[in-house]
Formats: sequence, C-alpha cells, structure tokens
Amino acid sequence: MSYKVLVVDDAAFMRNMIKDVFGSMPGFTVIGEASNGVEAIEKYKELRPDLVTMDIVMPLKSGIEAAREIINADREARIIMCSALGQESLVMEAIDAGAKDFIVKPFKAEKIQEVVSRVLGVKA
Amino acid sequence: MDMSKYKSMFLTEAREHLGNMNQVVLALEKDPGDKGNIDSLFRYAHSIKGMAASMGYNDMAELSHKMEDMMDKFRKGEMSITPEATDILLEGADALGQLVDAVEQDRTSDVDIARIIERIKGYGNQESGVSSRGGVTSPLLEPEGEGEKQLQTAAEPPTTDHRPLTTGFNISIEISQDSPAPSVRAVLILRKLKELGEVVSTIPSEADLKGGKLSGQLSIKLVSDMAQEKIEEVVRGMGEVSSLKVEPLKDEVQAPDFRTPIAAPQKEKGKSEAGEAKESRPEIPSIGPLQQTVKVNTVLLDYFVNAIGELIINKSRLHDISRGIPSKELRDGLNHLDRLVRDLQNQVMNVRMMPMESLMERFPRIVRDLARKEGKEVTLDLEGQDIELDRSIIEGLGNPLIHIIRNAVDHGIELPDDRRAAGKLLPAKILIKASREKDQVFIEISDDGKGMDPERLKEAAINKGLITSEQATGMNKKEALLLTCIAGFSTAKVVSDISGRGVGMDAVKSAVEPIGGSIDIDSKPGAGTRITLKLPLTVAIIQSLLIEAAQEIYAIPISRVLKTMEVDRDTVKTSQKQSLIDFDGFLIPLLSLRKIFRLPPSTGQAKFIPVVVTEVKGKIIGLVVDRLVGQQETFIRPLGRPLNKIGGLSGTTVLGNGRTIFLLDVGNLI
Repeated sequence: MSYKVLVVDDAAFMRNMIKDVFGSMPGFTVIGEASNGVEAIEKYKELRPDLVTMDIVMPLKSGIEAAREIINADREARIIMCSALGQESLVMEAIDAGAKDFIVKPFKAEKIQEVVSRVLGVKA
Repeated sequence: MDMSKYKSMFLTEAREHLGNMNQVVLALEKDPGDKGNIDSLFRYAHSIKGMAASMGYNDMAELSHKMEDMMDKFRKGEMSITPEATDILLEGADALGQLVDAVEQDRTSDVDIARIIERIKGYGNQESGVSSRGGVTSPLLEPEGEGEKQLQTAAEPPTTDHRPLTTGFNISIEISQDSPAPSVRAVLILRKLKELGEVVSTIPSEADLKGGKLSGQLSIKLVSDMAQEKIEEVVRGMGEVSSLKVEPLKDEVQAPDFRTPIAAPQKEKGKSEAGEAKESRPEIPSIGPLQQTVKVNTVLLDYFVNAIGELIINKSRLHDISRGIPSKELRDGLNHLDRLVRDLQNQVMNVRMMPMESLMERFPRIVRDLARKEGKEVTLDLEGQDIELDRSIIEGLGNPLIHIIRNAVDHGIELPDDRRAAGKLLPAKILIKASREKDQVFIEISDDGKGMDPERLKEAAINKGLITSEQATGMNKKEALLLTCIAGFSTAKVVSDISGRGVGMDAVKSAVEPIGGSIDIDSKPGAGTRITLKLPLTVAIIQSLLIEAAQEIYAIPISRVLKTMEVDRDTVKTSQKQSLIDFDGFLIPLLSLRKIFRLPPSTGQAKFIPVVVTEVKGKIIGLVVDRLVGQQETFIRPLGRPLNKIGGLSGTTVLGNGRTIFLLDVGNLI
C-alpha cells in the first residue's frame, strides 16, 4: 500500500518539484494537484488523500483557510504547510488550525522526507 | 529562581482545589448521580496531581493520582458512589490537606498515605465485585464462576495497578538556529508533548509562542508516565532541536509557573465532542488563551491600601493648607484630586473584596463531621455566599465562625431522641446567612436547638464570680446572653452543658471587635439561638467621627455610632449617682470620656452637652465628649506593641495637619 498525496500550490513549478520529491520516495503516490484553496478542498473531498502539502498564499482561498475547512470536515487530515521564509505567523495560524507540520521554501528533498515521515509516524 | 513564590501559588491553588473537592464530595453524597460534579471531582484530583508532581511532592502526587483513578471509575460508571466511597474521598482530601500544610511548614508529614491508598484499592475491588454480580452481562449466559472471573479482570484493567507512577519532567529545549520558524516548531513540540502526558506549564507561555515570541530556550513541565528516554526520543524526532534536556523533577527543582491556566481549554473539549465515538481519555489540561484575571500576592494589595491611606492623609493636609490661600484653581485641583483618590480607593477596595463563599464553603463539611461525631442530625443552609467583604476581615472571620458553628452543633442542637421527645423536627437546622446593609455586613448564625436561658446564664456567671448578684439583677436579656462572651465564662464545662453555649465565645468577641465589628446574641430556651456578627466592609480606610476630649482629638468608627446629640443639661436625670438621658424613649446612662481616660473633668458648664450614643457590651450608652469635631475618612494603622495592650484604643490615624490621633475601640472602653 502506498500513501496518497495531494499537492496544493499555485505555482506549477513548485507542484512539479514536490511531485518529483514524492516520486523519488518509495511508497508514495501523488494522486492529485490543486492550484488554489477552493480546488484543494474539492480535491480533498474527492480523493481523500493520506497527506496534503499546502501552499499558504494562493488565489481564491488561502492555504490557511483551506486547511481549516479540510480539518473541520476531517479531523484526521494530515496537512503539511509549505511557506516562504518570514511567514511564521501565517504558519502558526495554520498549525493552530490543525495542520500537522510545515516546511519552508526553498526546501530540500531530505527536508520534505523528514517532515513527511514524522507526520505519518514512519521511519524516514 | 525564587522557589517560595511558586510555593505560595501552589499552596493557594492546591487549597482551592481541595476546598472544591470537599464541597463536591458532600454534594455527591446527597446526589451520587450528578454527572457534572463527578467530572469536577475528577478534574480537581487531576489538577492537584499535576501540580504536586511538577513541584516534586511525590506523596501528594501519588495519593491524588489514586484518588483520580477512583474518580475516573465513577466517571465511567464502573463504580458507584456509596457513603463509604465519600468517606474514603474525604479522608483522602484531608490527607492531601495535611500534606499541603506540611509543605507550607517545610516539614515532612506523618500522614499514612499507604493506608488510604489501600482503602481506595480495597474499595475498588469490593465495588467491582458487586458490579460483576449485578453487571450488565447476565450471569445466566455463562457458567457462574467463569463469568465472574472475566468480568473481574474487565473491571480492573491492568493499566491501573501496573502503571508506572506519574512523574514530573523538566524539559529544556533549544530550537536550532537555522529553523525558519522556531516558535512554530516549539508549538508543534508542545502539541506532541501533550499527547504524552500533561503539560503543566511552559515558558514562554503557549500564547506567547503563538505570538511568535520565542527567544532562546523553551522550558516545559510535563507530567507523564512515560520513561525519560522515550520523551527524549519523541522530542528529538520533532526536528530542529539543537539541544535537549529532560530531567525528572525533584524537590527544590525549578517550580512550574502556575499562572498558566491548568484548566482544560474549551477548544480541546469541542474537539473530543466532534471526534469519533467517545474518547474515554480524560480531558488533557493544556494552556488556553491568556486569562482575563491574574493572581496577585495579597501583600501587594496591602501595600496599595497603605499607599492610598498615605494619599488620603496627604490630601487632607493639602486641604488644610489651601484654606489660607484664596485660589479657585487650587480648590478645583484639590476637588479633582478628591474624586481621583476616592475612585482609586474604591477600585482597590473592590479588588480586596472576597465573597463570603470562600469562607462558607468549608462549613458544610465541618457541620457534617461534627454532627456525625455527636450522633446528631443536622442540615446546614447557607445564604448570601456572594456577599463580599475585605479579605482581611474574611481572614479574621474563619475561626470565630467555626467556634460558633461548633457550639451550635455540640451544645445547641439536641440529640435526635431528645428532639423527637420535644416534638421538634428532624433534622435540626443551622442557617448561616450573610447580608449587607450600606457599609456593614451582617453574618447571622442561627440554629433551632435548645437555646439559652438568660437567667441560668446569670446564675452561672455569679457562681463563677464573674459578676455580682447585684449586677445580675440590673442586666437585660441581651446583656445576660452576652455573658457567654466573657473570658473565663466559656471555660466552665458545667456551664456549657446547661447553657447550650460557651466554648470560645470570648475568642469570637476578641476576633470581631478589633476590626470594628460587634456581636449580638438572641436566644429563646427550647427554640434556638441566633448570633449576629455586625462587620464593617473594610478595615483599613473607614469613615470616622472625630471628637475632642481634654484637648485631644479621637476618632470613633462611624459604624459604632448610633447617634450624636447635643443634650440639654437640664434634661439629664440622675439615679443612684448615675446620670441618665432619654434616648428613643429609653433611659440610657451617660459616661464621660474624660472620666474613662482619667483625664481632669471639664470645667465648662455649657448648656448643651455633646454626646455620642453607642453600644457597649449589649448596652446602649451616651458617651460625653467635649466637642463633636466632624466626620472624616481615616486611614487606620494598627497599634504596635506595647500600645496594643491598652484597652479602649484600637489604632491610630493621621489628620490633615499631621497630628496623630487614636481610634477608640468603643466596645472595650469600659
């Protein structure tokens, strides 16, 4: 069984990069992508992923709001926030809303792996 | 770090929880099904456990832990609350109280915790035996013996007995320098730790962390039954930790900051309600949003009152000076100052106010225990718990009220058989009622016991040599009843038996009068007794009547003044060398303040004599003074040794002109 991942970011470049990282990790499949908060919520409901990487600043609905709504609907949702440097207070808001962890751009593949394994409770 | 500061916070909070625990146990004794009370009970034990463990008070932690286990079983309906259970819980609460006392006095306690824990365990076994017989699963479905065995194990999960003892840990964490969001990391670590146990405190507080305020170290006090290594492993696994220290807390270890609230926050509750099924986990205490209230050391409050007192003195000094200066600006400024000071004073006095409840909450337990011991049936009703008094007065009232209650149960209330024989209702009733009238508070303690007979009290006092039979004849009922307040009267065992009163009433009197209060006793043989304490709202800053005698000014608390009069010399009557005047249709004696203080008699023969009417030992008298000066707000300072031994004086105050004057303790003038 592999973990299903939903990648949310308004930049296609970032989505691709993140997809590549998961592609290199055995046991993970990216099953969906979203480019804004509204889409992220829809995709989450539809796909029920095991893990979400969520950008913060996005059009239509921010990653924080999207995370909050997803968690309200599914308390078990595992969401990792992706932020830029200097967005500490935004990340805090998302964590407060129930996001499990965070990574800060620009990120290295190892960093993503570390956080993901922590959130899933598996050895990296 | 100053340990004592945390210790006093610990003591205050622990006692608060214990007080609540006692109350709730008593309530449960009456209504064992009250779910809300069972939950609260659990929480109190839980909080005490967390606090004690983090302070390193292991005995207290262990006992409260066992009590918490017991209460948890009530919560889950695995055990029922029987009178025996409430006895055990009360015994446990008492033991915890003794442990708290021992902590306060820096000594080890000789409380036999093991025995109480044994009792708790014994109760658990016995109860689960009962529930297995009358349990949900029908014994008919299975062979009797086997079913019982199974249920027995089910009712007693192995976790209860083999769980390692909860310990407090001091965790110091440094988030690595290159963390992009250190405070977020800290919050995540905190969240993780909450899954491992109870986070008692954090520095910085969770609210500060969420506000992004993390500089340097994160200190967390965790109470958990996890092993130290496991905690270390988990924290390290959270990432971005550059330095980590996990140490079990011992005595004298840095104390937790109890100012961070220990109560479970609303958010956590909502979560578990919305969560799937029913989480059987106890509420996890964690740090909620910043509180709207803070705990303040009472020494600080006393300091405020002193400062305001000085301000008032200084203010009246400025008023005095301004009289010679014709300046509107100065007068306006001073008037404004008046308002500001009054405002400030009111606010500070408000802060010092405590509800009677803080005092009364102890009484149900006391009455219950006393009644049990004496084999009497008594119910206690409380009224006016929300009435507020200055904390110094509340503090001084505890023991006097307990004396009165003890008297009521021990001597006032009859044994059930005697009550039946007398055709009286059972259970007997005691009512403690607080009420407020302007700046005075009345506390009334009444019982429907056998009451007191004034004539017999007089006899007893004569036999004791406390009064002469001549004095006795002149006494009215009220004065006779107040004989119980004379020192020496109360110690007479035989008297307490016949009077239904006695022990410690002199102690009550000496506690109440120095703070400007007075006692009133009313009683009817066969019907009961009512003792009323009349108290000022505050002590330090009071309205006083200033009077003059032999060129000296004295202050009398307004609360003690019934009336001031200018009596026409021609209306004064004389009987047996005693001057008397008419007051509301009664003849009351005139006593000269000069004479009382052995000052030279006044030479003037003015037509009108200034008189202050007041009550002394149940008797209304007219106090003759030279001049009535006026009413003024006064800041009273207590008298130091040896001046405090002088009867009739209870403090000093400074007038606007800098002159220090005495406050008269009217109740002890004669």
